[in-house]
Amino acid sequence: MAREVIGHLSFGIYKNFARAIRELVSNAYDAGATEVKIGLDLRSKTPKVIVRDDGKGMSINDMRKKLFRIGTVTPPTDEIDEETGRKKIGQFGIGFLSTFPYCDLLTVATKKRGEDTIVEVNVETGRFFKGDTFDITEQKVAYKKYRSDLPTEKGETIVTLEKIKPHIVNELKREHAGRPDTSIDRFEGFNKFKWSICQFAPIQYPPNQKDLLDFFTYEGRNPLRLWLDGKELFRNIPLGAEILEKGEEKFGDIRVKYVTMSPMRPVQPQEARGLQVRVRDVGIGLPTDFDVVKLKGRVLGKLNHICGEIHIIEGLVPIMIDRDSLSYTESVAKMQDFFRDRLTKLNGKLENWASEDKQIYSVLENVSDSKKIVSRLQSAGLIRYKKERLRLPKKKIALLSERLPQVMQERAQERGFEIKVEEKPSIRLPPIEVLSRERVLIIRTGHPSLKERITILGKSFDVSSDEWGYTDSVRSACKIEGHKAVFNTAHPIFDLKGLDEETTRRLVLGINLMMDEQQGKKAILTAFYQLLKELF
Amino acid sequence: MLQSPKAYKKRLIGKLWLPKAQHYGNILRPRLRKNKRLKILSLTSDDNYVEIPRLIEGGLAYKQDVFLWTYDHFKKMRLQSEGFQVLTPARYEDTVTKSSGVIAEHFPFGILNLDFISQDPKMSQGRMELEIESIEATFKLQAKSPADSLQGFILIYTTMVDENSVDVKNLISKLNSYHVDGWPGLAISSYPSLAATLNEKTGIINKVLKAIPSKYDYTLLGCHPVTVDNILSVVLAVKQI
Repeated sequence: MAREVIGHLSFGIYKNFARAIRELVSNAYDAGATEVKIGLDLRSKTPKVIVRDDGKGMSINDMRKKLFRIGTVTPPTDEIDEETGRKKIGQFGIGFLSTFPYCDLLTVATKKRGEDTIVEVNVETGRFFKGDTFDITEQKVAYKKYRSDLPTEKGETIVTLEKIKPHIVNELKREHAGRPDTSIDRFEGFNKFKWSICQFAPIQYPPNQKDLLDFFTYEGRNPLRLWLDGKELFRNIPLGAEILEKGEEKFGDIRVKYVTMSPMRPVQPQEARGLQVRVRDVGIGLPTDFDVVKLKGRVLGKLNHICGEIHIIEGLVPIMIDRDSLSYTESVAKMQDFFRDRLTKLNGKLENWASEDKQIYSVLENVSDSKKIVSRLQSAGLIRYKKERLRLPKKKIALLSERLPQVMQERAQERGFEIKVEEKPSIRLPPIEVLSRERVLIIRTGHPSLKERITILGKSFDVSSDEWGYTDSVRSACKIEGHKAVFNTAHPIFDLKGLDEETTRRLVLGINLMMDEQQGKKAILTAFYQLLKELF
Repeated sequence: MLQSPKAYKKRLIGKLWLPKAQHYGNILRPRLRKNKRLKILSLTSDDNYVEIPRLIEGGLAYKQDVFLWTYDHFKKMRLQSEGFQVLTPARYEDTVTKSSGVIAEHFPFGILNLDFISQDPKMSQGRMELEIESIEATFKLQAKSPADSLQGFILIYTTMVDENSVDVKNLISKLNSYHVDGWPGLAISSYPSLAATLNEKTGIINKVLKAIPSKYDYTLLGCHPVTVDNILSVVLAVKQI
């Protein structure tokens, strides 16, 4: 075995227990297992972890050649194994070794398909260490043979990590350390382990993720089923995550399939933020944003709302020996550039959606049954963000209902909705109606509840806009007709910098109202003081 | 040849084990409504442990309170990989009668499912006698263990009634060798010396099972035998006097 391989191992690369178990699952995957069961027995006096698979198993010769000859490097191949329908994960022959630091005794019991005997080997793992570092020397390992109770055609391998190290047991038993969900370090130990296994292992997406299941069905991907303490595990997909885009790209000699998603809120736990790169369906490191912020030099406010998966489906991928990162080749660099760009664009898209959603919520603020409308818009995907997720300004955004169809145009198109505008609707109809089956969105711009109202100096006005000739005077920026206020959008006062549109309108209306109604300097000054108090 | 394990279990769970366990679970733990939190010991098989999820779903126990027993080392590992706690891989009847100290720390249990069919028994002379002796030993362990709030338990005994006759005389004298102060022992004269037919055997088993509880100061709450083909299953519920 190469000294540098030992060096890598000794340097603590295999510091994560879940990743060591991932290696056993990967071995089972390469052995053609369809089912892997992991049991944690942490309550007994000798805590143990059992990993059982129904792969092809090993004969004693196979064990000698593959399992116990550490560091037998298999040249990487992109071929699909006919028997398993999979591309091989293992390359370095050290996966099995990764479990050694975590237990004092390792038992492998295996039955090869086509044979009737079980071979059981016990390895005292402590013999392979000098202090904290690996000391790989040739060691004799005794084995026993038993008659198996399984049918000849079945294979089975049971790896038992016995006498698990106390720090691992304590970690797995750890209860809440803080606010749950935000980071896997704050999870209970068992849940952290479970999350990590779900993240890395070559398993299937949850059954309710039909889009992902369909999209990531490709030749060479044949995930196994995995159970932890009797419960089947599936990939971690953040609750409520919506697919933003999916596609297939080629970068030099590698081809990828990718999906980006967002739950329209910060992805939790934070370790799930970014894109998870998978090679042979196995997670390589944690999800990453490819250092987009550092390299683009821009703050991307919605980056933490994005997650996703990148499957490298073709090409020989140079994986580092720790299996947590890829070598920096030209193809990998191109791929990283591409996804940095995608992440930047998606961030922009999400920021735009959030801003539009703010405007929609703002218009709906005065509508009496707005909750019902919002819920329908949300289920049709016409509003993405929840109201509580957006920081709505205390002052209403100056959006006239007439502009609503324009704001909603793009999202309606994306969702296959046709927008119908009704300018003079019946008051009895709702101001916004979603006809999901017909894929029609009706916006009743003339509906009284959508009409913007401004209350100033104790009076309330319906607001509309128009254009006409103006003078320098503020008086020509607005007309008051009873309870209606019409603003002259052509007036330059509305381009005034430093004041938002809403405040400008209120100021203009207030001045006009004051000038119309108040007589005498004192009365005008009092009203002006009142107006300034209301505005600022 | 044994009946398919899946078939007999399926029938017995629905017909006898679950309804009776729920009934007596209510009597033993009347205040616990959602889950009776009974500690279970179940002799089971690695490829068919369907009784466990049924008992858990039936509100009788939580998974962490379930202990399984299997006679084989590999079967034990398979069950452990399903996340179960599995006790010593050996024959239950041998362990409990000859070296009960090994497992004493796990006692007492609320439900003991002594399903000997799941342990792939060899149909030999003396098998049933040893199984019944193991029930006696189980009672002894239950009674000896530090008292818990339950003060009673449910024992399910399931066995295959084969062609070998039961040496009742020998059985009674073995049971009487489990000496308890103040208990006169089973009267050998009130039992036939041999039981050969299915009816005779089930009759003897029922009679013996009903007699054991009082020896350990338990009241018999109920004894429900069911015969399916040549399989006998008896649910016994007892409470401390």
